[in-house]
Amino acid sequence: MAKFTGQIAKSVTSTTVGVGALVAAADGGGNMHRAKLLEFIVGSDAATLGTANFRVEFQQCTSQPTATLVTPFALDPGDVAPAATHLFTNASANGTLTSGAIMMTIPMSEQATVRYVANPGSEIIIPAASGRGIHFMTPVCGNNPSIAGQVTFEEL
Amino acid sequence: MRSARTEGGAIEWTYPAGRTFIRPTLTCAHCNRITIIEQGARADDCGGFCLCCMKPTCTQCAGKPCTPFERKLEEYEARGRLLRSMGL
Repeated sequence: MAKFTGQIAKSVTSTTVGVGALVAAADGGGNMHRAKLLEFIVGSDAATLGTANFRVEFQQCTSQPTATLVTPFALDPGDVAPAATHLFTNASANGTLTSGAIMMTIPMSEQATVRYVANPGSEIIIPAASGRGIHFMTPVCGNNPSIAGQVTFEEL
Repeated sequence: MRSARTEGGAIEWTYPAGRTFIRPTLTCAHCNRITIIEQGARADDCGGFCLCCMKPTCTQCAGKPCTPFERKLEEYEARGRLLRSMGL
């Protein structure tokens, strides 16, 4: 039941390759753990921003992306690192996405910052199955601005 | 952030001039999708309500047989365990 938070970012967004992902992976003993997405904050940190359309989607996946693994920060100093949940950032290639399985669509403008908070019991749940999870996609990103976000999750 | 009317959560947009918009969200009990509830939206536009598990559902799951997301999670995980035990 440890809570973690980590940053995702990408300097040039892409309509086809996501920003990052939160996926389940086996821990050292081969055990799997579920995870819950508690909070998601996203916006663009570009110096000059237009008003082009920007859309962030959470899409289900069955394998992890080619991306940088983030070492998330434990909200409780007593916790160490997540045992079996991987947070990825700056993806260069997607994992295997589940077609049509969009868990959430966030319509926004490049100038906006968005914060989503789930109430207890209503979070997006990452199954305890290897590679299962969600990719943070930007299928609409006019002018391909940079993107930065903060993902807070709980590993069960 | 102000608490939302619904139990699913809330989403807040903040624009440069300091304008903010907050909308409640709904989490589907059958597929775990998040629906943003627009201001003034009718209940039918936001999804349905499953009388079997007594929880809200999204528009795609509305009116369909009750398959709680928890059961789907167990199926995903059972499949994962089977594949792992087979070394795949």
